[in-house]
Amino acid sequence: MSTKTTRTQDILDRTPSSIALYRLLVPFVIVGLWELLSRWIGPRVLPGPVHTFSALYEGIQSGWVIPNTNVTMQAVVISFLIATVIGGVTGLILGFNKPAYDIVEPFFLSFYSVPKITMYPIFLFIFGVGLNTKVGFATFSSFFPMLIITMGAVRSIDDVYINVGKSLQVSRYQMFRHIVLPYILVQLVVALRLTFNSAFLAVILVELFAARSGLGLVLQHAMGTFNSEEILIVVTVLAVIAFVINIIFYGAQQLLEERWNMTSDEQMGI
Amino acid sequence: MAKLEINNVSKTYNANKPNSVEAVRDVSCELDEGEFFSVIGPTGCGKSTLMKMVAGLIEPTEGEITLDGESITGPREDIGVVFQEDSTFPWRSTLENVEFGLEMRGVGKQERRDRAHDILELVGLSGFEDNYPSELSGGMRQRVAIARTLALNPDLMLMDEPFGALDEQTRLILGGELLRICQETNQTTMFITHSITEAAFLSDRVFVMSARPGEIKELVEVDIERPRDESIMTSDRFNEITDDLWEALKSEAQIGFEQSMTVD
Repeated sequence: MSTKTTRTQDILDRTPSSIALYRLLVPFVIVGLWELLSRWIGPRVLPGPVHTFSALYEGIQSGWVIPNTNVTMQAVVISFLIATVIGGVTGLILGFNKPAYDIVEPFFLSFYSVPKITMYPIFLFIFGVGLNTKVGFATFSSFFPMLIITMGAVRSIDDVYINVGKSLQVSRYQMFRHIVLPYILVQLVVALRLTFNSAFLAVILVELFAARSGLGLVLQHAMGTFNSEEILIVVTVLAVIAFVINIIFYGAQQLLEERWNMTSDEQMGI
Repeated sequence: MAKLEINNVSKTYNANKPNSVEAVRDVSCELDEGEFFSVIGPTGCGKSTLMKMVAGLIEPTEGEITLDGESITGPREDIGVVFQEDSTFPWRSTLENVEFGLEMRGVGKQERRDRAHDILELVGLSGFEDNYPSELSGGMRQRVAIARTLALNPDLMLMDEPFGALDEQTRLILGGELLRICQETNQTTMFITHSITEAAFLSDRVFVMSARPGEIKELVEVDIERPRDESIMTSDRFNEITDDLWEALKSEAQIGFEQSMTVD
């Protein structure tokens, strides 16, 4: 009966620590596949990992990688923070106000699926080329996941917890701090992750269209000059940043889910 | 004077609207200090509505409920509630769950910790202080919820089918535990249930409610001496009482069943 399971377990030990170990191997597998692909397509179109990493090192030395990364990440972090505050607060208000929630929810959901990039020109007209347009547009596009998930999380709170709070006569602040906030925390972490990713994407998009500096601009230049090497340097930098940020949020989410056995499954569709 | 007085209380949801539902009609009863009082009735008869009114979570449409002569107008410190659904906080350990009410009331850390340990011992959960609800069984979680309420030492404890979501064996065991706890603490308790055995086993008096709108159908006295234990369940007197209760409930249960078939 269990031969199959036993055999799989022989190959793949499923204890959490070995899972973590296997995860560490994944980047190496990706780099290996990259190398194979580079040899197959040809290193002029797709430079291999060794070449890219040494070029990245040179890029850092010659001083264009770090400043451009800083410019991009500055815009991402500012947008992420503004979007988190505005989206979070609006989400809480609407979540607690059922009639308002019922009125606006379908609109937010459908608005969420409209490609945000169509609104980009308006931001360019208002703010001109530079940080303001990046932040304005990235805030606008990353505010929705924060808002929608926070709103849904508050609405999903089980009435019995609210009744426990009421029957214990907790204050409004205590109800929020000790019942609502812990209840929605896992979902908030998911929201933060998606908000960050949206802001990241939006800033790169803006820089691709019009910017004076930033990784997106580098990408656009490289595209115009068929400079695959530079494109892969940018991709590598972006991938490392995305990986680090996501692993932090994902780790926090896993930790909370495991310890409390609370899931955020219903929100994963977004 | 009685501890809790329910005087001609009625509750109509959505009163004066086309979709109004009369849940409770003209209910009056009294609870004495230290008494264990059960309310039993068919599904949807308004038992939970009655309990929520006593808890101050909803307001009666008519009538008045008083505790120690004082009218209940909202949730009160001296009334503790145990809900039917799992209400333990998944983000708090057993100990932190039991401490919750004390913490919210500003009781110092050491004092509430000591109190929580005592209560956990009373409900048989010593050794599980650091476990989270996800690591406990449904029955254990409900003990945590009971402990959280008992920790506040309420004058009146309200329990809304606290074992309703548990399996039969767990129910029987927890019923026995609750009997022991209430006998030890002399806790005044109003217990909502639809189990005849549970009501007869635990209570001093059982109030049988009619199908919706819930009215007093009968008041059955359980004149079996305390302290009791599981052995009373096989006694002749216990069987007579459960027969009486079933007799009073039977026709109402039938009406309740038919209502539930037509309403939804």
